[in-house]
Amino acid sequence: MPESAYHRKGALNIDTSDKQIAMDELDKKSFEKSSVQEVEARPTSTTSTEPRLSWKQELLPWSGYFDHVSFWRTLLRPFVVIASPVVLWATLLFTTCISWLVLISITLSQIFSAPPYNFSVSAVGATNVSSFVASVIGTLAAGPLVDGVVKLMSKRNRGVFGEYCLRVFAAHADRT
Amino acid sequence: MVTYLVFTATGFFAWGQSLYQEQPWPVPVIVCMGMINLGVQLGTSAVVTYVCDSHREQSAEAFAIMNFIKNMFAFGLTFYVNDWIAGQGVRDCFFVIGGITIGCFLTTIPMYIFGKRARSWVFRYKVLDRVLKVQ
Repeated sequence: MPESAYHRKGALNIDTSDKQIAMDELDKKSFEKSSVQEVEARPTSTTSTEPRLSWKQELLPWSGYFDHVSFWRTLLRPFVVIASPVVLWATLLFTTCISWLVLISITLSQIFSAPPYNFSVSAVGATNVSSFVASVIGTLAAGPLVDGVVKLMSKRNRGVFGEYCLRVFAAHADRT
Repeated sequence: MVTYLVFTATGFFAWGQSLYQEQPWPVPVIVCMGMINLGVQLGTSAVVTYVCDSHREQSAEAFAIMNFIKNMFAFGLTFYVNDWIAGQGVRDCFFVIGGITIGCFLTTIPMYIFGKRARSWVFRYKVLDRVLKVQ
């Protein structure tokens, strides 16, 4: 298929600081005597440096990648972020938060199939409904809580939006 | 974050205790599990918001590495959890989990005190600029 996506290198470079002297052929002939030189600032337009595809190549349904970012480097990028203490602490808390939920769901059948509860298989599955309802309530409550407290503190600070996240954590203590 | 701790820790201790005392099923299923999940939602929302706000450009990579480590841990957890509960009993097991939750929460206190210093350390020594510059 004919492709129209290319890397256009100079298309967005509208830097008007460098000027070019342009002499049209027509102007040169018609204004030979005065030899007017036009100094203009133009966007530098470079032609595409990719070779033109032959007609047979244009019929192919797939014409390769246009992004030259290295795949392996992108793969390794997240692992560098762990060097930040913020991310380290957040990973610890996030892991412990969610892993206990995994643990509960794994052991749910072991706990509830045994006596004295003697749940049937579908009843064990039905115990997850309560966790679903609680998650919905928690999700609905968490967003306004965090944003509301940050807004409040920004108002008290007369419009300066700072890093209030940890004070949000402490502010929850005022409400408990 | 304190709300997270209150809900989650209470939920775990109550879950263990109510299962040990074999109370009628609405007590552990509805009340305790509801509290645990509510607390977890609050905790994860707060933590993820903090990370995204402090590392705005690298928030995608930060969230990716957090998810990766969480999945690794949960995967390893599936191997020994059933034996642990069968061996130690439900009550002691969940009391230990509640204690670990409180312990992890206590790491929030140094984070609260040194948080600004930690973030400025990252930006002063350009620890994460390798991630930004690589393009």
